Amino acid sequence: MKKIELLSPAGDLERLKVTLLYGADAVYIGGREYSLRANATNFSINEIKEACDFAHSLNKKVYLTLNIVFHNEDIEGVDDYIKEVVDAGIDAFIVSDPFIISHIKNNYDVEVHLSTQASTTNIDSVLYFKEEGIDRVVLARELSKDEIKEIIDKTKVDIEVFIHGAMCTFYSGRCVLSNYLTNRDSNRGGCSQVCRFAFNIEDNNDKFTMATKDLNMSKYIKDLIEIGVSSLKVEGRMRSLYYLATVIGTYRKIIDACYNNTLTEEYLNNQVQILNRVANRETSTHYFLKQADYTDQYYTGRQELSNQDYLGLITGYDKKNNILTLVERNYFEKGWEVEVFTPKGDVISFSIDEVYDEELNPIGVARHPEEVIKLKLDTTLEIDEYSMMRIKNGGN
Amino acid sequence: MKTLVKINKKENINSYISLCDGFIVGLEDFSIDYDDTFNIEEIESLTKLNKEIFVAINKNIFNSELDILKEKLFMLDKLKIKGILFYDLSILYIKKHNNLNIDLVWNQTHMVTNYNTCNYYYEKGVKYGFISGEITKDEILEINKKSNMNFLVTIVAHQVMSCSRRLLLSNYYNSINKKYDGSLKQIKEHDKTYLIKENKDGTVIKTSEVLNGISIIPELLENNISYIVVDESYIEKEKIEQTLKLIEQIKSGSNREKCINDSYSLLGDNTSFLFKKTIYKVKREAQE
Repeated sequence: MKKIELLSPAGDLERLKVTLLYGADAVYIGGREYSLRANATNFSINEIKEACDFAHSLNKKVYLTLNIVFHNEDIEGVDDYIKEVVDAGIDAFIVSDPFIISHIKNNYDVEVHLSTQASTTNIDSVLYFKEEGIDRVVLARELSKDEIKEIIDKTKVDIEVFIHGAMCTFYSGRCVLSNYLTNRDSNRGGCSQVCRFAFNIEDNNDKFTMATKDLNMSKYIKDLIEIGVSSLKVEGRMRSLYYLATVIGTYRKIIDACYNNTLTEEYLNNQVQILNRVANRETSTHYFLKQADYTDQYYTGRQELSNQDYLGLITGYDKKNNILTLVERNYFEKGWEVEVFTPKGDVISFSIDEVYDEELNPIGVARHPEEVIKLKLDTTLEIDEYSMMRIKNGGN
Repeated sequence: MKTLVKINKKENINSYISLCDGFIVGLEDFSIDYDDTFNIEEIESLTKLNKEIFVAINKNIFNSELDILKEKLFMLDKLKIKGILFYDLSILYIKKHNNLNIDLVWNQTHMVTNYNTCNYYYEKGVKYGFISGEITKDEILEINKKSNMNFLVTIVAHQVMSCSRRLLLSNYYNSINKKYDGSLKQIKEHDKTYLIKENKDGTVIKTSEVLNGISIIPELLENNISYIVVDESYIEKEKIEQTLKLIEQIKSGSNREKCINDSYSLLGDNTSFLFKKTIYKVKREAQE
């Protein structure tokens, strides 16, 4: 049986490398044209080539979003762009416009995945796209477990579903609030997230909000594997390195534990707890188990939780002298219980006996983000590039 | 160029019969953004009005609805209706696999925005396209010029901005221990007001300002646009009647300038995106 794919977002080359090293099987990226995250850094053609070379060297894949809703003015040049991207080595396009699907399938030997932007919600619409030659469908986020299973069973099409990250309040593709309220085109990458604004409502003094909690399917990965989903997608091309490393690393462990038959309740709960620590909103499974209801939304203005768990990015480890070097991200001090986690999935817990500056002078406290800090750590485990340090669970 | 009225209230239909060429109506259990919908028998009786009847099946379809959807499509196929507005691709799939004769109107609300995709659907047997409300007049004319489809263009409406499967009003009132009364509500952000309504299939948010695109009718006529659409939802019946009379005069070529000016007094002067492009590459310089 083919193992389920863990698909990560990547807003730039560094994020792409981190997510692949932390266990993603594939990444999806946006080019500088035709992508629904116009405000992300996004990739130039040269960067796409570098991304593909890096991913392929690890036997992993890169998908490119080409999922805007095209206007007349966007059409000119799109074929040249597609050709350049295919030549750069991309493994699949993620598209929403059926014209683009047929154009790519008729002219290039590359996979095409139907974007969730098409809000595909039923068997017959999946079959429509199957006949158009689509290789995979990213289903709408409004579907239950039973609905997803029925689609897989009756269409035999590769199905991808979202498992983690921010949710749209509205059907993807059926919301242009951003256009009308801020003159930014939500279907061409300009979404200003009006669904997170607070409104006054005519018959009540309380603010009316429609913002949703984030999606978190970590407790249902086994179910998704069992019903035959092909790919599990994490949302967030604009998320931080730490967020991506933690989320992708955690889902990697959960998926592997499912296949190794080592997924105990205690293990899963521990992983869920790690995920919760990088969440900046409350989470829910939305439509997977029931029709989404009032428990899946926010009703107060404040939705974002600040998170200062991430202490630093490890830049080196001197095995001979047991000195760890890192670039600080958030405040920490002598005596704190912390842990280093690595792309391979190792977690090394320790207590900080002293904080040193770059010249190994004891300073007691790390209080300046981007400052180079050294710590003493005695471990035999490998601390690879892109390892990170965070507060120990329940510590400090 | 023909004039269609999108019917939100059944009782209003008789008032518009002599003032338009046809109607767009919702189908019971399969339409969103309609206060009143019609069952198959009622639609059959509409076909006897000697008007062009389009039926909107514009909700997202779920597995459990496919069988009944197919049944309804078979029934509609036997009626003398002009076409079915569709959002969900299952409808195109069912038509193709059951050799239905009924004409379809591509009505993916915010996606009918370029001529290439229109031509794609035309080649798939979709005869009509319902132009999205977020493109400019020039874009509309270019699409019409470069596609073989017959187009419907809305010129008067509270425009649809978003559609959710969530019951946003019920959820909100539930959170404050109240019950949603089922009525149209107004929400406000800064100085702008919006309309919000919920039914069992979800929630729709619309502009509170009425789009008034009457000034572009002469150009639409010159460019052989097939249909213009007046959406009566949440606009007084008398205003719609007057609007339809002004449109008929403009179409006939008489007192065009006066009629357009009169429409401003009647409906306001909001032209929405007809003369205004949206921005999407906010950080273009940084990207390059």
